[in-house]
Amino acid sequence: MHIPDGYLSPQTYVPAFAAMAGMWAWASKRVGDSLRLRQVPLLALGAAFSFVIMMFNVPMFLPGGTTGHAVGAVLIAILLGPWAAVIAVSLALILQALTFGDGGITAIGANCLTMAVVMPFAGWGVYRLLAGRAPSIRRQVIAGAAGGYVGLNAGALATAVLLGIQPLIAHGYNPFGLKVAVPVMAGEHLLLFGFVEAVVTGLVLAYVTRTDPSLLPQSTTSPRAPVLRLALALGALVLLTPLGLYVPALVKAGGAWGEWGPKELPAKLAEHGLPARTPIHLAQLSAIWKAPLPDYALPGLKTAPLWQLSLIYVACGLLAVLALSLLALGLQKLFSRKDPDGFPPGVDATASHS
Amino acid sequence: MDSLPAWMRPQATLDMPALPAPRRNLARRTLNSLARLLAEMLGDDAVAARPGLLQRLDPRAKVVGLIGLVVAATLLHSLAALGLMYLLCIVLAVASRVPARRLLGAWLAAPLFSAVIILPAILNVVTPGHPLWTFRLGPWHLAVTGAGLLFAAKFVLRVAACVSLALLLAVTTRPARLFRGLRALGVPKIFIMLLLMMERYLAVIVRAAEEIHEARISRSIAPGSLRQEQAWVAAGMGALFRRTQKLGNAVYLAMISRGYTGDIYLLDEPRWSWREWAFLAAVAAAGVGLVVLL
Repeated sequence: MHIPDGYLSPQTYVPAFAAMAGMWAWASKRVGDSLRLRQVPLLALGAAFSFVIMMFNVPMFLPGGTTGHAVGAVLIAILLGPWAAVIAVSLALILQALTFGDGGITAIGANCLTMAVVMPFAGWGVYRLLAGRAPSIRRQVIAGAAGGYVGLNAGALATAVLLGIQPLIAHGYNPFGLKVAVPVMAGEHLLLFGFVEAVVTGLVLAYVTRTDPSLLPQSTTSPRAPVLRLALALGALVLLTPLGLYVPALVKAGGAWGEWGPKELPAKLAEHGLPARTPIHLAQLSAIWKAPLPDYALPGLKTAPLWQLSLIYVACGLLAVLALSLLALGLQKLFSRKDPDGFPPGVDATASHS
Repeated sequence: MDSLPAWMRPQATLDMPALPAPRRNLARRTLNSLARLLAEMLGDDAVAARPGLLQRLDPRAKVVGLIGLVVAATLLHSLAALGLMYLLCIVLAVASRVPARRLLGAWLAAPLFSAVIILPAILNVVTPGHPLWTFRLGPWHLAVTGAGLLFAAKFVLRVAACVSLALLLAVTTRPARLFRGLRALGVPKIFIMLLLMMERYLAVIVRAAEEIHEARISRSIAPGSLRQEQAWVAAGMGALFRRTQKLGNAVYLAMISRGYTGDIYLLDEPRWSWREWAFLAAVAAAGVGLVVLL
């Protein structure tokens, strides 16, 4: 996943550096606020740790057969917190690029973006979602493994997108477009490396939980704070939904390009000099499902003034948030049953190191 | 100098014979790569200590100059300019007495790897152009195009030049001085300090990881089941994490006992002289000249 020099155009790596500069500044503020001076040696050593665990061979599929290497960014995000992981993994990547030639110097920003931001945050988010507040070891393992798998694949996808947009931006750099870069990267990470990351993240968490649970971060914020923040963010987004009505009205644009229904399509095709007819399969398929609120509007109100439509948009947004929240709560109840033994399979042979 | 044992003297070579690694023994394979890393970290000092053009420069000038050249190389688009940039790398390497063996990785491995990746780009399906040679592969008619070959040549040359410049920076500068040189790029002090500290303790952590693997190898006669092996690797990482936390706390207490209050002082060697200005002027002239003129 380390992008070397020469694969990314300056139009990509300069914005990546700019984005990372902001990330690093924000991350050091967040880390500094929570633990202050003490955090300096712990971060430096966390970075060295993240460098060294990338070198461990992890067996996959057959004993003594295929091995892979884990990035470990999700593990570090869970153990040290996501903002500390941004800094620790970035430091490891910078050291690799500057003194070991692993990953390009101009690509440091892009590599940090994918492996030190996208990967730890995606993985940590999934882990927090599945682990809940006081997870059993089994749940810890499952949440960690899912986090590792999702995090690595999110990072790989981000890398593939950065590489794949090169032919669109500038000539002379990575020549393979999204159609090639995304399937190749996604394929090997979904099928192989994702599982390496999952095994490492899950089993190391199990080991730490069993041997020294005090090393796991204690939640300092009240459990309600994140929910409140999420609710505020969602509320703001819901209030912004009418933008989709006002902006097209402002620039006199029609509906979303390419999202035409069977009734609009013939007219659109005729505009481009094509035979004006509705494809037969579109007509058949669109008859299967009738949306309860077509075009996010109540029946008979499609020609209402914009402000009325806006209110209906906001109502639709709230309805969707409510429905999805209920679904998520249901899933949480389903998964949060206590498990009787609490020990993961295969972690018993862990006492053989010095 | 006489009081030092032979292996501590600067000219001592660090030969770490790798143990024969049977493909099936993954602990031994990891141990070998850890040993190689340690040898590389310690061995690099030998080149950085030689009297050469780049070694004499202030690290700040070197960081700005060489990273500037890497950026210039990513901006070049003509074959001639990229070739000249590569030539410049070779001149710098010779003037800095970097042994060719040390740069083989940059001159062979990295370009070869890129050449393999870029190979499909010489075909008409990726780079359309005048066909030089056509052939059939199953149902497809493929052609190697002139534009494709030119593209691949430029791409490989650019990667090779960038990797060589990065490697020149790495082997002619001790990491501690290299990181201090990053100050010239506006990197905040706290990050320099974190980098310095990470680099200093990396060898300790690598050594700890080696011990974990040695302990395992010395106590096992055959690999276990896949599950056991995976659990063991995870336990090794977990144990390593516990050690880093312990060490981090100890380092913190040591820092406090020496009066650390959060203020960071870095030693900058005031060595900036006409040589640094001359180097930067030459690099700027070369970089700007190549980008603008060719």
